[in-house]
Amino acid sequence: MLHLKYIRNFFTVICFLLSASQMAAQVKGTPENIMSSFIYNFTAYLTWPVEETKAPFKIIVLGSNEFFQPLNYIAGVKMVKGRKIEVKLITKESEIEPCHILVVSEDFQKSLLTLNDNELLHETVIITNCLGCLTKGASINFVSVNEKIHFEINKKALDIKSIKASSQLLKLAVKVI
Amino acid sequence: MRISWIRTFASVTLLLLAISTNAQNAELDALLNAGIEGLLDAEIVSASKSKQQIKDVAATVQVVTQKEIKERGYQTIEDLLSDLPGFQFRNIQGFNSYVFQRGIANQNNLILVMIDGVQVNELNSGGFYGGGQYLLSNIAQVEIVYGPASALYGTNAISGIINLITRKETDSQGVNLSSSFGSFNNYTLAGGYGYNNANKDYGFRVAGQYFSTQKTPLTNDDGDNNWDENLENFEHDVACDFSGHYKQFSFGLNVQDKRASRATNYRSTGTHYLDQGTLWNIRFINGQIQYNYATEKYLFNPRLYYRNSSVRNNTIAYITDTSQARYFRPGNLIGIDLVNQYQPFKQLSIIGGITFENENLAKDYGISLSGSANEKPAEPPQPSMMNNNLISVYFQSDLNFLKYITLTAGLRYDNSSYYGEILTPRLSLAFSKGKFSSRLHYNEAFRAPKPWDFTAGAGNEELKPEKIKSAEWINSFTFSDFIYGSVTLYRNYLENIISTQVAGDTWYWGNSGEMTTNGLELGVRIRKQDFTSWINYTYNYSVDGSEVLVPEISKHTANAGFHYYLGESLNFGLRANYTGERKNASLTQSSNTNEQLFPVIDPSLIIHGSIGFTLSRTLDCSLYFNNILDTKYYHTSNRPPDRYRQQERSVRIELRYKLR
Repeated sequence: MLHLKYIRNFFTVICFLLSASQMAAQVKGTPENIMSSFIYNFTAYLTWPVEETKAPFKIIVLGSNEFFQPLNYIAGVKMVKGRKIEVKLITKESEIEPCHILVVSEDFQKSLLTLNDNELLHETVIITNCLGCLTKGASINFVSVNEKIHFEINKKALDIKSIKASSQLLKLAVKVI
Repeated sequence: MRISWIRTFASVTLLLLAISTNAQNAELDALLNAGIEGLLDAEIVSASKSKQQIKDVAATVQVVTQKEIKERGYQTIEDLLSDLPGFQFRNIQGFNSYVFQRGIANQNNLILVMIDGVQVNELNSGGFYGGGQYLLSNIAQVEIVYGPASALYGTNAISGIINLITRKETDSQGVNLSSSFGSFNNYTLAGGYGYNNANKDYGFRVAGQYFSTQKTPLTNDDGDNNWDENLENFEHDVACDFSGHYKQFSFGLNVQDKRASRATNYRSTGTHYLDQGTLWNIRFINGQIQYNYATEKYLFNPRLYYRNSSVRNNTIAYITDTSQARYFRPGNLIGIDLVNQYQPFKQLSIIGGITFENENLAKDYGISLSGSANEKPAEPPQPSMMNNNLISVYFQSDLNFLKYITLTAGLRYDNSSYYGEILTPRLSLAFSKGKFSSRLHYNEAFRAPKPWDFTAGAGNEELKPEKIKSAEWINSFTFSDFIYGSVTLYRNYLENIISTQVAGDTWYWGNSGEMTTNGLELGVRIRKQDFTSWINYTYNYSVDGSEVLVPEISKHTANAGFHYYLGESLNFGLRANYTGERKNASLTQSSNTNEQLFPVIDPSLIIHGSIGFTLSRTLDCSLYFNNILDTKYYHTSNRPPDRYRQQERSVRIELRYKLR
């Protein structure tokens, strides 16, 4: 009898929890979705030297479609400072063209130093997700801190490209060099 | 009947697939709306390989975060585990309490507890200490691994692992202070400070806590008349953490000093034991220094660590009508772990390492006795020490193939100077696609006897380690963007159980008996930005070799709860814990039939609540209500007091200040 009472109370709690769960928004996602959302948010805190108002804001993903899919979705629903977003996936370094942001996948991390010297990318923010990549030429690198995704910034690399990062962004970075 | 179940299962599966179709876009929309600061706090639902704790891949892992510790007001490690699936407890309301994971009763020596990866199980007994000496306000998160894990961690990792990850200076800078006080003279003072210089790549964090409480009143009727009105029943703990990094080097130091009364260990009514004056003082000191070398495909983490766990020489273990007994038992260990992690290509990662340990253990307590109940004994003699050397080599590889399947295989070889050679394998096959994952694990593990177990009593040189073989099938579903569910089935077979054997007028430790547990864990978690809830149910059917239910393990346990943030200034939550009927470990004589029977501990449903207020950007406070209904409930016992009454209704207020 006592068991029945407990079970009834237990299910009442379950029903309450399930109904109450419809109340608020969520903040969770796959690493690729979280990082892609970061990339979109970075655009509000970065200022490129030449800001054409009509040309699309160009993001290139080098090597992997893991980031291409979420970024391509974001391009369909968001704009950067009133400009449409164009996302392109390339799989060879020879296909690189001028862009605002270059997302480098794991397969091309060895090419970071040469990418940084590439004349076509002299006004490009290079974003990576790998250990030690910040000192190898990345402008922004994602890192894991206590099972959360954070980012570190190579301010020197951005300065050389005359790309300004807001003080707020620098403050939120887990590391700035 | 079976067809009906299959039909229902198929319908639910189809429903789940339908629900998850548009999950990807909804997830992105929500992330985009979270803003950059919200993203910094975003929860990762399926970590990429580079971010996984590879040591824990072949296991069920639960995580409790600092936010949850604060919301629910956990003060002890048992509080923290009580809202997870698969845990039962034996709290004797004294110097220690005991945690049973997945249906195996024990003396805390079948679970490894670690702080930042270094064990804090007591060296001499192999068992960890429950209680309030863990500095929970300085914990970033607690990772609880289910199932045997000796293939990577060696002896004692039979039921699981509890790893407390401390807060680091990189994400906990500035000053934090907190203070709480409540019923039963329960109060804490805690503080911490973190400094990080990102440009020069160094930083440190220091934190400390004092915790004091009177435990559940067990005098007279409340304690089944096992003790009188003079019973002392307290716990006073000090804990400190110090950690930091300089470029690729990192270090950590943890100190825990636990002082608790031990009078509840024995019944005083009708015996020669007294209720006052006992003190169990144990101190744990753990230190480590680590170097992190990383290239694109290779990680090398050599780590030097030191462990000290000593029952201090001011310990008064018991007081009788005629004397006091003072104990001393030191123990220390130094080790080096050379961990290598190599990922030659995306689908394959390998972790392997070599561990060297040297430990010095007291052969027995150093004991001094006084001549009367009121006289303090002289300082106990230094006990003779034993030295043990251990070399371990371990290896585990994860191979991903056919895109959705990962095969994990691991092996560990231990060679100890006293318990010899042991080989421990593990094997796992995982399928993961989209919102569904299914994993099959086979794990083995062992608990080695301690050095003196071979010589205690009449001695037994043939004593072998206890061994467990475990098969586990885990299925997890992400029903929608915020509802996660899991179903786990497991079967554990424990053999060579080490227990006391009687031979004529003497005794010895021997391997005798076996135990089988068939278990089921069901869990549903809901996590949204402002709302969290959980429901867990666990079924354990643990029987010995004669198919008799083992004592102290209930077949049914469950817990559920929620926490909700109503705007920025108010949050509140409720949580409930249910433990079904279980039989006691010790026999008592039936008053009706004169038979020796195992007394039964009744089922219990305990409800706790909390309310939090954010008073300003730097100040917040919480009110915690434990055992709201003031339910009278008991835990089992493996000693003469047949059962121990548990926590009564209590209220506590906590104030927290944070300045960055």
